Amino acid sequence: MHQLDLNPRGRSHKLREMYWNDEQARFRQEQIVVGSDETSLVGKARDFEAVLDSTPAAMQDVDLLAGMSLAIPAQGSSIDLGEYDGHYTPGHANILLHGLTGIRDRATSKLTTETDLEKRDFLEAAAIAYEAARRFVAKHANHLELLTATESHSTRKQELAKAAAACRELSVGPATSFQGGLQMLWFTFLFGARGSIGRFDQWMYPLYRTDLDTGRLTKTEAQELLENYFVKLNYFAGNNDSLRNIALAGQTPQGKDACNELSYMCLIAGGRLMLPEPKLNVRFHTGSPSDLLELSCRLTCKGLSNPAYFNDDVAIPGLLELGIPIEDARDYCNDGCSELIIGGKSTIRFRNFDSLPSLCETVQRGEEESFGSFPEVMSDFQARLEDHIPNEHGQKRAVTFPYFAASLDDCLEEASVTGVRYSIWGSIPSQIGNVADGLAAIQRFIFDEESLTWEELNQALRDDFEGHEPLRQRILNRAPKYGNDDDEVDRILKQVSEKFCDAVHDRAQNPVGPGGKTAPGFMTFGIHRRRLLPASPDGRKYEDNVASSFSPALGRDRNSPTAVLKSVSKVDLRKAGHGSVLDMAFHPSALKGEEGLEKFMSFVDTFLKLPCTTTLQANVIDRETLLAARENPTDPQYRTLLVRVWGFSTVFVSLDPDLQQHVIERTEHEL
Amino acid sequence: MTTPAEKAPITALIFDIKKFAIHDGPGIRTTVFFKGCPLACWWCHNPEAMSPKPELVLFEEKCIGCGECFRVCPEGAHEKKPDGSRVYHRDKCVLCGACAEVCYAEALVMEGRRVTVEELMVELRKDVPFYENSGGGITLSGGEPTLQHEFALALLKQCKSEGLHTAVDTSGQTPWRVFKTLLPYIDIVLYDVKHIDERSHRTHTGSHNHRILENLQRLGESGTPIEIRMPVIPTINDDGEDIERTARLLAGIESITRIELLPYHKLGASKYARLDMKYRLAEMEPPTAQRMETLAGLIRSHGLKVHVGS
Repeated sequence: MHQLDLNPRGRSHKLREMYWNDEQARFRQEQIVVGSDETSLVGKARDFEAVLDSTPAAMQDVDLLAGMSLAIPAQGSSIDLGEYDGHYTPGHANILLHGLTGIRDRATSKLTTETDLEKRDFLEAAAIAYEAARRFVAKHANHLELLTATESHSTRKQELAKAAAACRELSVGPATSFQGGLQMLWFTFLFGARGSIGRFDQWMYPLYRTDLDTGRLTKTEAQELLENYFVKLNYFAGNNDSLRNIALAGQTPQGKDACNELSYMCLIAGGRLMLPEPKLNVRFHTGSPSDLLELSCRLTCKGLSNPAYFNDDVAIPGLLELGIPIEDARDYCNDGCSELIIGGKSTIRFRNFDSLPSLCETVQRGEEESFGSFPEVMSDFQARLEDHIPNEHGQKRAVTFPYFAASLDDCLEEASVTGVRYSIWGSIPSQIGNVADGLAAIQRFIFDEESLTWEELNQALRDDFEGHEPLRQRILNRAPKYGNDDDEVDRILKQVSEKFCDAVHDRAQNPVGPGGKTAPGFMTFGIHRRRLLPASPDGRKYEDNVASSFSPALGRDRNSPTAVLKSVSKVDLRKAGHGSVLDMAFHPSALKGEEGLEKFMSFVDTFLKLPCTTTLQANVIDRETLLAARENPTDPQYRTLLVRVWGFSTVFVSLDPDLQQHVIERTEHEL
Repeated sequence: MTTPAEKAPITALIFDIKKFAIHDGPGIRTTVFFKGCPLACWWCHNPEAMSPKPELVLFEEKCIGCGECFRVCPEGAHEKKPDGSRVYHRDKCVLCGACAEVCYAEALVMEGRRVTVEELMVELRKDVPFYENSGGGITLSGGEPTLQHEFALALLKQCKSEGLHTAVDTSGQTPWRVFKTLLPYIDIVLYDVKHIDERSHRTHTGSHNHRILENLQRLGESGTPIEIRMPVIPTINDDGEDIERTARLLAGIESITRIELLPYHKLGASKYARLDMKYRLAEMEPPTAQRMETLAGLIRSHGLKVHVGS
């Protein structure tokens, strides 16, 4: 069994405390940085160089990794670093493999034969940016060597010497040690290449293995360094929607199991630190070792709400459908959220749209012209939904931040900001859970029972159900709801989602191999949209929350978590190559002890085998949520909150006040 | 004249089906709750399970005031007072269910519905992938599932013929001949031991414990795996000496896989009011974790495996 408790006297604990105390803040210094005022890529690289040159070398106490923050250009600075989108990853694998000097030299050597002006601009910018980065690292090596010389404490002296050596190593070539690798990734993060991180355990493993085999490092030391890096990833994370994702395990490009010692070590680090960053995502396939699932579930049960569970058997077929070759498809990771990307080889942009207004339009047409049958309703809605789909696969997207761009396959080789191998454009319908419920209500009441007219439904929607509460209650409680393993509504969900995916593929005509790709997917947060969406035929009032991602409408999955998985599994989500996400919430008491862990493991195992969505996000609900649930028991988002009481689990809000209080108090002990 | 083939299928009165039941035997299970119980334990958290008849339950907080129940009730069991408040006359109610049928807000709910084996199986089969991955299956609980033993037998037989793991959660208060017919189709028995002392058992459950303890011995001899469930109700059944006696008894039964100690909770207190029933333990506080551990240790000292529930 893995030790998931943080040693209160250890370095990781200290670094974690320092982070909570915001000690990193004092390294964020504002200063005037004078830029090049050139719009070319070279100009952006010069600006990058100016920022790096303005930043003094920094190393804080306790820390094993150098570098704290870049200089913050103060008002009056004229800095344009170029653009990228934090959702995709820099080419970490290339940066580690070739080093700063390798990428710089490749750019320089290509310049000797390149005549195209635009390409020369790209290559010159890359050479400038990577040389600037190299100098920045060398500056840290010098600084640390000085610190080492003057350090009196022998242990710290050794630590500083190692950190200095790691920086020195990076200033002359690629990383050759595990510490050098971590230092390289951390510098890249500091440089502002803060996309998702990607398959960390894959490209860091060779460095780790060599260090261990040559006796340069012990496993304990490696774990400590790893935790050090993880704490630092929390710096300056802002509102926590920071996109710092690591994808673990899964398969190699050749289709072998990719899980290694580092995959476990990352999970252990996450479980010990219990910090918001980095967000861990574990890829599973039929050949994944069972103890990988066990350790992942241990983290969930501990209350980290992490990792997310990814299913290769759904994700990879989805990427193949986009025309991505199998080796790259197997090398997928997730972006800042749960969209599937090929790390270091793709950009991504998700484009989501509301689907409830389309359903409301269908209902209006029902009042104006009426429909002869329910299939006609389905076709009408489907056509409206498909109006949102672009008639093209989309172009390759430019990355104009030279340091970032030059790390990507195949930007440097093509010497182009749009040279990236794949640009994925998401096509994402939101509120699909509400749509399925709304259509099911229409089918049951207007067609099967003939107990409701289009006029009555429309009037109720126009009135936001004011004065129509009995109808709303009938819709809520007497029509089937997605998430309860009820074929009547699940069939509707299946038809809507699968047809949508097919339509995206039809219209996009995605090229086989490199290029822009439009991909269907199901992932959106519901919370932001509620005030923008009118009352809907699923009984939802204006301002009520909507379903997130591919999850059932909030609070409508009243049966059990197993029924939710069964409902989801009826839809073939291998068609949705952008990804699909299911959110589920558990109370820690339902996952308590070794028995709770075992049962949760078989739950996730069934999620993978059925299969369901590409991604499962299982949240363990904390005390604050329980308090909120007690204050707002009718709020749909709290209606299915599971808590364990006595010998079974039940819905929290159905308990009497005393017992709720009891559970709230008990939770404090459990978390 | 009717042939057996035309006979109406056997039915049972159940009040709930709970999926993802993770505390009712091994693995992930689906539990069927049968209505009707020979005991009336003071601490019962499922008072709706006691009566062997359907019951109407009123959740006043869910009422939207649509007034449909006043309109449809043929017996005048729902009365609207001049001040707008409502009264439910349980004595006038004939349990026809007409009000619950039109109560879309689910303020009026009929506890108890009749199901056939096949109707039940349709639900029970739905989570087969979870049973297979977790070593779970079906649990018959209640109430007392053996009260409706003909149905229980038919259901258990059907489950076994489909290869499903079966558990029966029982109070033990049932004739041995009933157990005997069910046993070949039960993989594990979840057996309640509420009190070793005859008098106290009678006082707090409304029934003697002779047959319960006798059946336990016989069950032990049959070799069927047994998980013992002991509710711990402070001052009522948590006396150290009584627990000691119980442990001695249990230690002699080899087929007991473990003892589950369940600390008293107030779950269900609110249900009593909805059923116009009196809850006698309103002032009772749950046992401390420390007390639970002490009792668990006492039982463990007899070589028994104990798990403290929550």
